[in-house]
Amino acid sequence: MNVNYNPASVFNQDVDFTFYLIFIISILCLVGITGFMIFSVIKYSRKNNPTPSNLEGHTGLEIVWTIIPTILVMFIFYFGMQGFLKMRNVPEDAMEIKVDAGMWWWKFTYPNGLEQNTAQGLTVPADTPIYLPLHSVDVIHSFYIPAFRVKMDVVPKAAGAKDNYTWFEASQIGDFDLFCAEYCGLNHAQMITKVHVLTKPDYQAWLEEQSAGFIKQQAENPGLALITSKACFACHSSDGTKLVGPSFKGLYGKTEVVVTNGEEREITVDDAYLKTAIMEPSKDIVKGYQPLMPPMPLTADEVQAIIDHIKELSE
Amino acid sequence: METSPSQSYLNSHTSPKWTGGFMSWFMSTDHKRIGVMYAVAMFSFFFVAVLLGFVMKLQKMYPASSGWEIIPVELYGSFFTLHAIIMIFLFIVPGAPAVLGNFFLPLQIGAKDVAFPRVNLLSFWLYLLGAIMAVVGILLGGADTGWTFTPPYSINTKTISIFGVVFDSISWMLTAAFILGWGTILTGINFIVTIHRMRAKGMGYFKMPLFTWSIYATSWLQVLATPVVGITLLMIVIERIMPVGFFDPSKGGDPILFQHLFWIYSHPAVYIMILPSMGLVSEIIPTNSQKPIFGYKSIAIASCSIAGVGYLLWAHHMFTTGMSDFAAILFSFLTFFVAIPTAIKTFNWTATLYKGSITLTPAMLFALAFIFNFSIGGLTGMFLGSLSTDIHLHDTAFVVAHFHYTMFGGAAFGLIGGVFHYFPKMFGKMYSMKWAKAAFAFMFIGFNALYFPMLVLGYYGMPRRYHTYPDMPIFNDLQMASTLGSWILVTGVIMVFGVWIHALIKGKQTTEINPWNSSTLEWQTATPPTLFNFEEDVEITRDPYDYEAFRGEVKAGTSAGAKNV
Repeated sequence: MNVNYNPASVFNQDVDFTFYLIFIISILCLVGITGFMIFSVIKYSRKNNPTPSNLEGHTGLEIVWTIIPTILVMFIFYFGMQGFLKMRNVPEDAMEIKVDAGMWWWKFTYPNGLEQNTAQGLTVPADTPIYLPLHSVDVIHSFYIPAFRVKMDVVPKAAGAKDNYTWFEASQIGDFDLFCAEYCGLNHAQMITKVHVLTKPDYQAWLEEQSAGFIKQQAENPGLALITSKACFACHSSDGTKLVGPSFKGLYGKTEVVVTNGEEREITVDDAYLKTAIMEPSKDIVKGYQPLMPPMPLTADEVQAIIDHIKELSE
Repeated sequence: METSPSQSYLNSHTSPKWTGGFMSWFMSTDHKRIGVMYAVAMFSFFFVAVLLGFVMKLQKMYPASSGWEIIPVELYGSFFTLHAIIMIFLFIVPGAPAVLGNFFLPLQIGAKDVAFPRVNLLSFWLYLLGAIMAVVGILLGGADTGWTFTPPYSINTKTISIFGVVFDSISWMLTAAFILGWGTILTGINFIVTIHRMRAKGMGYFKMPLFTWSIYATSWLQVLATPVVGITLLMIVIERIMPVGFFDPSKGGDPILFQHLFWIYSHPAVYIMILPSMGLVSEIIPTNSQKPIFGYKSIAIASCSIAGVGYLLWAHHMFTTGMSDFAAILFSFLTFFVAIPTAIKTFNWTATLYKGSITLTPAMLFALAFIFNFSIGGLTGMFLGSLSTDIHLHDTAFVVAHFHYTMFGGAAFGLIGGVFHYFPKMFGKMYSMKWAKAAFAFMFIGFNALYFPMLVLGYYGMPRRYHTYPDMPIFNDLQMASTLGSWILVTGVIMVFGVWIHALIKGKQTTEINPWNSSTLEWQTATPPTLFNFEEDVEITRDPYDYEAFRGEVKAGTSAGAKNV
């Protein structure tokens, strides 16, 4: 696991400078206040100072401790704003990688159409600004790379409304954690992936290799390509492991108990059942699972390709 | 003022019909009894929520890879939601105004009761109804939306039925919060009218004790802010049961609009939570220093400016939602202006100690701990008010630690200190000083051991509301430290309750009118107070914290002072 907190992106310097500025001011304040409290409690204890003064206030002091904090917080505001404006202004030559988020997966789409999922992570070249439009297919998620000091909510938008965005420029080679930072349901804490920062030549090599494999897979096994692209593997395994939803392995032809409108019934998994399960997932819920799957907007051909692949996995 | 016990409010009744047992409390319109009932209900809920927090901390003791699981992930979401709903809506929002405000506001201003005693009882009933609905709702159906009910998650999510019963607990809890809101609004109106109309002769606004001032500022916030959240929560209920889309983007709504409406209430609400405890600290410190509070007027005005400015900051909870950059900058700028009155208050309390004659009673220890914890809470707030640092720290353990430093280390420590301060006056019983101080030590050390590591965790990027976390040395060590701290803290909380319950049952009976030698009016009446608080009409001639004049009165025998002075 990588816990490298050297400046990993172009934002670290601004954010960390502001952080340490506030930190120093805070420590001075806290030590001052606490020190004075301890001093007074000892020096002016009932035993040491039986006759209290009747001091009611001091206008000069009040003015001083109104003006000094005002000046300090305005400095803090200014530096915080500077760093923020940098985060909001995307350089024009930035490379675009689309981010899609759903419960509970990430998908990264590269300019050439290559898609990467949660298990693969986000691979980017170093020293290159990356522009990331953030699209959510269900609820609010938050795209957070602590090492880069980058965070932006991934908010589902009404038709026609503009998606949120963020950008970064990685300045260090390595693997960094990418978290979902906004509570998004049961597996929120599993919505974690990695950012792999490569040198520019390494990235080019990686991109060519991955894209070739991706195109090959789409041609040879469109079902698997769709399952990967739609992030089905976030909840359904292909090796028999029970995740949020039932595994694809050995699914076709299996007898399952499903709950339909609150009533249990036994079915055999066939083409017709799988079609309903994909298009109207909340209709029949396999017993022992939660009704969590969103409906998948797919064409009839695409559904058939997925069903064919599930068949293959059951042979 | 000699009292016979039969005249105490504990033995006299507002209604001839209900003169004994449970109903003599439940039907009583006496502000003192209502205050005590709130205390019993609120601290019971508080204890339940503490235990929920304790289990959540236990869950975080080891990272995901260890296979450690105290509660399954399905329950974890319900746990943090219930913890927050109880702590916020059932404990800290009613908080000090409901318990000590009800009991002492009329006493501090020389009134016989609040302006509308029956409405006051109605507020309590609404509180109980809402509280029971919220707790029953979540126990039956579970809900993992968090207390913020953020849509579209809160609209789309099917409630997880724990016992196999399908039950829309989210709508149920939203309705509960709506009902609780009514209780709060009525209490606010009641206190505002009481303060406007019922002050004793001679008590101008700037002769009111500072706890009264803080209740006054709080009440305005309650009346003006609560309706916004009430309506907003109902809109979510409507979206859940009808096909309309205020906030659901798939129906053309805007989920960010909800966050604006929610925080328009919920940001002022944090001042509803903290201001009354600031008021209590402003009582405890001068009493135990035996000198006037430093800068009385600036503290009173600061209370009101906090309430006023606090209204204009809500969107600083939303810097990462993608709202316009201009709005983000504006709200960050305004946020820093609430830091100033807060700083002024802190400096004034600290300066009050200068040349005092200080006794470290349990209440004083809690008040000084309030200043320390709340300073950390306020200072860490600057990291979150500043834009670029907030982008990094938002929705991490840093935020969780920050608001616990203000709400628990601040507001709750102030309230517990306030209860220790007023306990003998309320019940005519004295607690064990030794055990109270020991309980304080456990709470203070445990609190900081629990929450300070979380500040560091947040800096290293630990997101909040995670059932489990990736295995990294820095996460593992700090989580472990935090969990160990929670054990010390829970011990302290249990000790505090132990001290109180022991005192109520076996504590030394006392009729001493003014055990801490305080100069304010509430200490000039019988212990425990009689049904109508004062035997004769009161007239105010001096400032509330003029200790020199107070000592003169004690010598002349016109004012009550502690017997040992």
